[in-house]
Amino acid sequence: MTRNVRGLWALTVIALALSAGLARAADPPQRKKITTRSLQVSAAREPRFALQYRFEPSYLDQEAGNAAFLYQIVVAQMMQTNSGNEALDGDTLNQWYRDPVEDLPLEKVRGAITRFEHTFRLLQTAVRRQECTWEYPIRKEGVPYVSPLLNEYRMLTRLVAIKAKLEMHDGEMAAALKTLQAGMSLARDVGAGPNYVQHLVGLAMAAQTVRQLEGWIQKPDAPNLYWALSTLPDRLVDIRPALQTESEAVLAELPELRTLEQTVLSNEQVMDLWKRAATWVGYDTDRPRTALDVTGDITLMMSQYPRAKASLVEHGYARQTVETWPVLYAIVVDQYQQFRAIRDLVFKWTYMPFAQARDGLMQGERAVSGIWKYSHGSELANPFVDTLPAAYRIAFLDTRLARDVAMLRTVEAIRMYAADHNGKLPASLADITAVPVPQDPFQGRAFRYEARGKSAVLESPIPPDGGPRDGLRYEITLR
Amino acid sequence: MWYDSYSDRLMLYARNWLSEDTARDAVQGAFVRLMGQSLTPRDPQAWLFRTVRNEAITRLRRRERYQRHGQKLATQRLCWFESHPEDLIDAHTAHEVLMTLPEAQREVVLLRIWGQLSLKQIARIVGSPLTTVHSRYKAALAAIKERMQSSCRTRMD
Amino acid sequence: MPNENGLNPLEQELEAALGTLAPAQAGLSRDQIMFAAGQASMRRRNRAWQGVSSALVVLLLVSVSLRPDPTVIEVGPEVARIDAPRVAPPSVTSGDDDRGQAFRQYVRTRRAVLERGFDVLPASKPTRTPVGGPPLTREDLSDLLSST
Repeated sequence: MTRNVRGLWALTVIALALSAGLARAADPPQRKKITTRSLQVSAAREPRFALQYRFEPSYLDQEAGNAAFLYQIVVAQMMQTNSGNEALDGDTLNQWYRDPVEDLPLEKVRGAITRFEHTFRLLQTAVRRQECTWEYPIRKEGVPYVSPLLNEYRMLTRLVAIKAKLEMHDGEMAAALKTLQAGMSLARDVGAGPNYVQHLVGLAMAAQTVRQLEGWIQKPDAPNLYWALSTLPDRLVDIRPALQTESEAVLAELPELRTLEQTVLSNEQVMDLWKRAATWVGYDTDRPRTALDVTGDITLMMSQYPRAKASLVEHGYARQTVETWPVLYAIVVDQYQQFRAIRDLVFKWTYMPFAQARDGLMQGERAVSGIWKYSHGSELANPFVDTLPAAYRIAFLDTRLARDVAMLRTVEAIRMYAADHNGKLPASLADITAVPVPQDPFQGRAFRYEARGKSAVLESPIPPDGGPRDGLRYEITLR
Repeated sequence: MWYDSYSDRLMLYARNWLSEDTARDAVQGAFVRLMGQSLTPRDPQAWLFRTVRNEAITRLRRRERYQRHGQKLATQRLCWFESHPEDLIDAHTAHEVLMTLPEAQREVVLLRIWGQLSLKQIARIVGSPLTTVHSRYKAALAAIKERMQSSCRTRMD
Repeated sequence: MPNENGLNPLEQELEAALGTLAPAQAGLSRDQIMFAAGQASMRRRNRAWQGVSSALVVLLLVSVSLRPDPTVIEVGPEVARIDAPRVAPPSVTSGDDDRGQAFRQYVRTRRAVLERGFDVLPASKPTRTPVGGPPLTREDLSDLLSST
């Protein structure tokens, strides 16, 4: 290729690249990236009996007993059924869950779901138990006691979702509601478990069940679920049990911390405490911690005495008192108090609505990562702080589920409006006055809404720190 | 109080390993450390001997002259004991006889007789089982007795 | 008759006789010791922990490697508590190590779930072959129910 041809070729490539870049710049980024789903809906007033449809078993249908025990029987039954040559593998199950019902090999799916009839019947019995107490021996065995069945619960949720999908396709709305009710109760009970891992699994199960309601509201003449969704708590899956346990996890592992500020420990006792704490850290590797690792970590902690002493004096301890303490005791008291302050900073905001708590949650995250600056980037500056969970992300996921429910409630409010206004969509959400329209919990304000004739767009923008999956856009068409 | 009661005995103990000057540094260091403790040791006597021992071993290993230290000590002119006419045992003889003992036996004798520590305390200081310490002590006394008797016979010859 | 140290009468006499020898004077200066102690006190409040930590690191190395060396230098003198109730040292057993490892694994799992999703959780795989083993007997069932 001659020099001139090469130059021309280079210019062409550059020009093409620039034009593509300009084209991209002209499109609002979010329109390409945000999760978008189309909903074709019919107008629908609220039911004559407003609370006719519920996602919780009726009080009179409940029975005394602990659902947690029965859930394990249900899962065992499911696994027993899912054995042999006809066992469903995870990929098949995922595909049936994700695909629209129109794309499913219906007879095959029906046959597969029918095999789990006994499982579903047991599940209906389980969700009618009055309480669900997981009874993990956390106070004795610590937080790490986690149900080994979490992935099995997720599989059960997929089966429930597929069953509901088939029932709605067949027009069996009462059966579908009963199935979705069971799925919702299962998810809420699992998610109310006493640790964050189980809570996160429950969130995912709830999100998968809620997602099936998109199929419900698109059925012609589908009953309006506005009040059914409104009777659910804002936080669909209760995080409080997990919050309680996680905030005290370190104290469960190191009981002497509970009386640390009242009882002086010797250097040897602090060393023993640090040795046990040192087994926690090094989360990025599977490599077992060696004696040298532990020694190096503890040596690093020892180097903090001057800073620890200054900090204790700054926070009200008499210098004379601190100087009578064994050196390592002074360090560990400072570590523990740092931990308490940061832990409470992290956890307090999880009790608040996300839109109000976002900045506080980020402040907590910065405090956790900021502790490292005292030790040249080592997590051993404070092994207690390093056990704190990523509260911001967990609150974010909680809020995303609440957003999904709020979006569906808003769609139901729009369907209600359309039924009361000759099949017309509201020009704005403010036009809906018969029922309160929920706000976007990420933004703390109304969802974005734009109507054009028989179509409307309802959108929850991608929140800061979120990705494409975290935004949601419904393109609504009114029949 | 500790200084008055134990400085001489600690010095004697330190000289089991060290020259006079170095032993003095070691003992002085032990007292300085004792005064620097934020909490009084439960057993200050044992603490002082143990601290001196640690200091001595550290210095020996650092100098890497452990093999020759026995000879070096043997050439020390200064007697470990004060000499008085009324002594039942001649100070210099006692010094010489002690120098013929294996180092481990000599250490036990110094701690027991002049350190006035129990065999149990000694076992903790030297890091050996009580039975071992007891055996060493008995063997040391037997050797001292035999060699002092031999020394008397030699002088009288 | 042997005394409490197992010494016979002759050994006891020798012990007593040796004990009459007074160690030579140390030649230490009390004033020098006091001066050195004062200097050390000024440095110690910010640096004593270096010496303690070095020695304690040695102690720690030995303890975590579980190879006690009888000639190791002891550096942790027993100290008495002042005006504080003594805390009984928690017994560090192999169970405590296992528990620490379990907590570490839990924290890792929690982080992995948040960062990578639920695929990090162990999953039961459906069996393609019939469930093996003899059918449950009445005794098996009784054991199963009584263990839950």
